[in-house]
Amino acid sequence: MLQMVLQNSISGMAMGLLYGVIGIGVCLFWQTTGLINFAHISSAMLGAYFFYTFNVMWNFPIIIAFVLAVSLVALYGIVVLRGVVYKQIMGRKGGRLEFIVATMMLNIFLLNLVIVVWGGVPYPFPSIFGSPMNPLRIGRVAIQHHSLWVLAFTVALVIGLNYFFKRTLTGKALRATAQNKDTASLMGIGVGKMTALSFALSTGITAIAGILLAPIYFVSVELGGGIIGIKGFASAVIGGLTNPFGALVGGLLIGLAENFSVFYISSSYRDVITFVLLVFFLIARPQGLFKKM
Amino acid sequence: MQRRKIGFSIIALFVVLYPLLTTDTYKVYIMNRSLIHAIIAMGLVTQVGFAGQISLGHAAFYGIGAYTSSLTVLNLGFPIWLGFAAAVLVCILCSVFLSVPSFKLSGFFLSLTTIAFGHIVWVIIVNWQKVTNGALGVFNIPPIRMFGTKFNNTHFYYLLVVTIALLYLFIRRITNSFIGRAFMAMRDDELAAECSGINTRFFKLLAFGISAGFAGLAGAFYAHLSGFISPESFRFAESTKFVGMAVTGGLRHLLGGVIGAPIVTFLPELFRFPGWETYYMMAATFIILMIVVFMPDGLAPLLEKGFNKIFGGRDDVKGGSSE
Amino acid sequence: MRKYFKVLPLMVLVVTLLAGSVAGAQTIKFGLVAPFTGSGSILGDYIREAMMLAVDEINAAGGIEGRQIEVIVYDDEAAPATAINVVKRVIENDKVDVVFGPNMSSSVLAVHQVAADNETLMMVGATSPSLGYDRTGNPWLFRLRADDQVRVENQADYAVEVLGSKKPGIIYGTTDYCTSARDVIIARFAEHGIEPVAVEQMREGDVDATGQLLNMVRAGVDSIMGLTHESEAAVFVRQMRQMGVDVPIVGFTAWGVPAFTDLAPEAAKGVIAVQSFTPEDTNPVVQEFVQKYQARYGRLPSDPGQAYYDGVYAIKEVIERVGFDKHAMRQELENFSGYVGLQGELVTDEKHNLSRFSLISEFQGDGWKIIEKY
Repeated sequence: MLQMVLQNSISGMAMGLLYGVIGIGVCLFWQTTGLINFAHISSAMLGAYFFYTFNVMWNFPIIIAFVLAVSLVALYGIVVLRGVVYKQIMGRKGGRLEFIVATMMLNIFLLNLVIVVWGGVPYPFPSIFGSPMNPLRIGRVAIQHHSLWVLAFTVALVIGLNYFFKRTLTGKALRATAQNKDTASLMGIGVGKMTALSFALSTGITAIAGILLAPIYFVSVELGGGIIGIKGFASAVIGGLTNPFGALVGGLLIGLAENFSVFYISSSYRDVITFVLLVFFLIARPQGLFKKM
Repeated sequence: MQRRKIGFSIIALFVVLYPLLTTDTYKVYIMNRSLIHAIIAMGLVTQVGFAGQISLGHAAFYGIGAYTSSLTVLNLGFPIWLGFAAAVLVCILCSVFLSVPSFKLSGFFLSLTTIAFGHIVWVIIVNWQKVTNGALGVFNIPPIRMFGTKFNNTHFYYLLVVTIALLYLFIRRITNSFIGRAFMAMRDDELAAECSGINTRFFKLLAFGISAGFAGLAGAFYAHLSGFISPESFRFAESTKFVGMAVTGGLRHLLGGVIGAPIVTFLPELFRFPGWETYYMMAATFIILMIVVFMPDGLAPLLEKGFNKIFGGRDDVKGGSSE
Repeated sequence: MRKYFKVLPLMVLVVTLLAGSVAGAQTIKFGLVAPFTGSGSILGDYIREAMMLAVDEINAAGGIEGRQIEVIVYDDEAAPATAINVVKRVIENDKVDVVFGPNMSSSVLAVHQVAADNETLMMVGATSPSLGYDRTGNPWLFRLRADDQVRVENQADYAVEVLGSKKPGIIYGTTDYCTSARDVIIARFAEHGIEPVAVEQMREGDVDATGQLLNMVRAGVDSIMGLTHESEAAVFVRQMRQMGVDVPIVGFTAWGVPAFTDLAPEAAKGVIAVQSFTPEDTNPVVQEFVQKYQARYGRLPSDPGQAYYDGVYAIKEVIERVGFDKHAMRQELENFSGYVGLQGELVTDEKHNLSRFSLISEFQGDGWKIIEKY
């Protein structure tokens, strides 16, 4: 029984980490723009599909495929998301509502675009993060190599972001811009450049997350249209939206709650637990688990 | 003024003659679907556009309405009109659950709550098999009958047109009253509204209730029009479609829902060229995306301007547009 | 991307063919309603390819009784609400003579009444038992594949009689395809005096089944019945292997197609599945079909494509027997027999199923080994 509980916790945490990685991108975007991008998860989908195209279809080396895929998605973030959607809507003193709807429609369009270009059939992802057939075994508890990769990446990401925002000039400028655009520009910060940077950062990091998700989710439209996007929002909200570390903890909480609700309650109502948690946190503790970073 | 009357008559004539102009019942059917969507979009215009309370969970009310009406008619032997009433009532009751979070939340956080609500309702519909028949869906839902005739698509069309006209008058009455002004005050600045003595909780309940009731009514219409419902039709994607309709038509315009819904519903159908079965959706969603991004006010104000240009008349924007 | 470029010239071909046939004198119109963009889009591609193979063969040989076949294809997104739109369009607007599809059971339930109202033949590949003539009472609805009732019962029988399972576990999806199979298999196990010890749900799009698997282990299952869609099947077997759960696993039709095995080729080794079709079938008729298909599309055919290939030829046979009158065609289809399709004779039974063919096979890593044919 103990082994089962352990196995369940470890698998739950592995999933939770993935939700957390998506949540980090949500936090980043919120921190720098004060908005939530409902096409957020599309960046993950695009990242996975680009990487698959470069690496598997065109046989580029992994590193090159990775860099190309992530920069392409960051470029999409700057050109499409910021250059067209954000500028158009904010330029007309449009509100959050218009931004929500526009990004939602962008998400739907991107889904259909992917279906046309790559087809709706999921592709198997190459096992570059270790074979799923031979997990690490401690006793009878199995841990996937892939989960360790995700763990390493997320830890590095959280530390890196922390350093970036607190210690580097660009990071500080970014935070200043997020807090008050007018004051920031008076201080000589290029507000336009900073917004562009924040768009590129959040889409690029989400693209990496997409590549990390693909071994589990396959390279599939499920990445962009499925429930994972909302679980990413949920982990960010539970973590307090301003703290990447919080998003990670929020993700872990959701992952564990899901797996144990299957274990002790019923597999039929697994997804409900995420939403109940989300609503509970929104109402009872809207500031999330953690204070502002 | 004479020319305006001509303009209105032309539109009215087209609306009345539409099902008679074509022998193709498919076109009438799609129009009926659009009109059903229009009811939901009208509710959303009231709730989102006028009262500023976003909802991305309206597929849930649509579903609750459809299931309530068909199950009460099939299992409890309700007459259909009572099924409709039950659908609206149950939806209004459910909307109370959803509006409670709105007392504390707004914007993105409220939209996340409504998404969560939509998903929870969907999971319940799928898993509560004893009542909803789960994924298999409910079939043999009786069509509407009146004076002994079974309603076909054309009858249905006229019923929907009349319903929408009544709902339009209802909304216009509301938005031109103190309720509408309270809605807009709440939307533009909640704190200021509260300070000037507006009970925002009450008006939030009211906004959610109206649009949930509309969606429930639409759900009941859909159930009795198609004769079959299953959980697939009430997914999250439908909710986004409904909001997309309201925005395409014009969130701040009384006619936004009525104009947006047919456009969004017909667009994919227009692109079903031979050999385009993979591309049509991309093309349709691209156009909607362009409208939403480049015309955030929607098409209704544009059409109104066009109408005024051709048939002359008042240039002031009619209805509840406050900007 | 490559696939996309391959399909493009094909579509141009189809379009020109259509244009050509419109210009010609009389045609017979077939409608195809299948998923090309939704969750089931892989099926749409297989169905269209197999169906067009039959249509082009017939057209090249002079058509049916001298009339060329014209095909109108629509996407139903595997969603009932869209299926109603396109079936109405294909029947009431395009006025086709025969509708093929939809392929999803819930879509068929939503639309079959349209076919009855317009007295148009509807040939579907959906397999849910709820579509039988005994349940729908729709004389215009016929089914080209074996009923899941038959196949899932075979699956249960195999688990009990061959594998000797006493404590089976069930993993199922949320769509009607999966839940009706779940009901059939539980009923069949009950006939054997067996009650499944764990019945677990896996929602479409789920990528983690640890909790479900642990529940099965806790309940001490000695075999697992897989009743999910393809992607979830891949996730499930992969995790099962990772966690070292070592019991035989028998899946239904979704577990016997490349859409599943391509996603988890290693983990799927040893999976036993009930299939309607496998390109490994040594039947020479099947092999000839496989070769033609591969020569044209560069890949192996897959279930349910073969059913629609057979369906086109069955309609041709019906027309050659009784002419183009739809009522005569319907009557002939009701008592149809004597035509040998890819996998044996097509005979209409009292549930309006034309085929009862199914086979049980084991996945070997590079292909399927047939264990038994029914």
